[in-house]
Amino acid sequence: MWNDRLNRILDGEEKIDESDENLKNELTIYKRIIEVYSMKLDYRPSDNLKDKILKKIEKRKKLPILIFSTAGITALFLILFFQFFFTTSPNPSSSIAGIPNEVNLNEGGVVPFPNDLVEVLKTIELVSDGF
Amino acid sequence: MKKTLMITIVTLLLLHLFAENIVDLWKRVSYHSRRVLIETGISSRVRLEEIYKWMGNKLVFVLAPSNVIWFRTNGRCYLGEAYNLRRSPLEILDLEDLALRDIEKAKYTVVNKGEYYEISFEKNGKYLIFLDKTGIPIKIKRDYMGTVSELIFEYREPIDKPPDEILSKLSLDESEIYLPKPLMTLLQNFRFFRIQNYKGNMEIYGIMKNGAKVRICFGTTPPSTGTLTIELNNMKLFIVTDEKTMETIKEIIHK
Repeated sequence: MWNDRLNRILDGEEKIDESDENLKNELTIYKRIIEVYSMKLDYRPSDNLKDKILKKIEKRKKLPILIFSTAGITALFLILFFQFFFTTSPNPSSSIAGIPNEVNLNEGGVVPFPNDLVEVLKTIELVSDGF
Repeated sequence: MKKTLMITIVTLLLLHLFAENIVDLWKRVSYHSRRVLIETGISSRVRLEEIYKWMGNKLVFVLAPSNVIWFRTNGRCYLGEAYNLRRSPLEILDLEDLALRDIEKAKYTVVNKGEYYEISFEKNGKYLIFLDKTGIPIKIKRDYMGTVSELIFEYREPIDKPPDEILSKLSLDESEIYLPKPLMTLLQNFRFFRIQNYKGNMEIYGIMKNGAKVRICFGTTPPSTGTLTIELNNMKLFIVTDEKTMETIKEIIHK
């Protein structure tokens, strides 16, 4: 009922009764509330505050990515660490040390390359695919 | 973004763990197989053989083009015809051994194809390996400087014990087959070599571990000027290669 009357006064359908102090008070409070709400609704944050808020949001978005990336990289490092320290190295190739000085670069009597050596080399070539 | 990253990390981890498993299976697997080697490149080769592999040991019967047996046990290699084998002057490594050695130092990828696994990597050549679910090779392919070698395992069966019956027939002689040491040292520095006839003389043609191409010719006259001549036990070896490699070879044989 009271609200209806107040609405009618605000719409200009009904004139305000100047002698009604109670009504005048209510109307002042109402106007003040509207003013405050208008101010709130019309509030525009400063550029600095805008930047701060946007940065906070960005940080929050990046946090899970950062956590997962760190976890992933740590896991990969752990695997590489274990692989490096706990896997056996392949067999070393035969040693070439201890070769006697049988080679000379002088001219001398020459004999044909022996057939048995040819056979040995041919056999190794047949069975071996590399060194 | 978050989901994609998580899926990627989990997939990478799973792939890595999974890859280790199948490669480890391959290293440990014991099997019997009949296989064919087909090679094209600096020369063409075809080889048919039967193999037994168990606990780091390997026994291979080469059936064609000629009958040869080789056996590797405790890091020692034996070579011969029939069942009488002698110590080999050079370590014998087949394409599977080379692949297993090179994969240790390589970054490799494994793809599960359902019935088999496909492994690829690049180290001392481009490798492509197919393994069955038990880790037994189906095919090993390597492309090294244009020489393509394929080892195809036609028949495969896992074995759970050494082939004792066959091993009992083997006679192992510890005396090493003779090969002049400088020549042996030189050949140990090759990635691989092939024997061929050149104008009636035998020659070794190969690629050294640094990628240099080398011809070692035998005979009485040098095949061309600018060769390195080595007299060895009254035999002459003529080495044809570039000057830098000649210096390297001189250092190797004079060590």
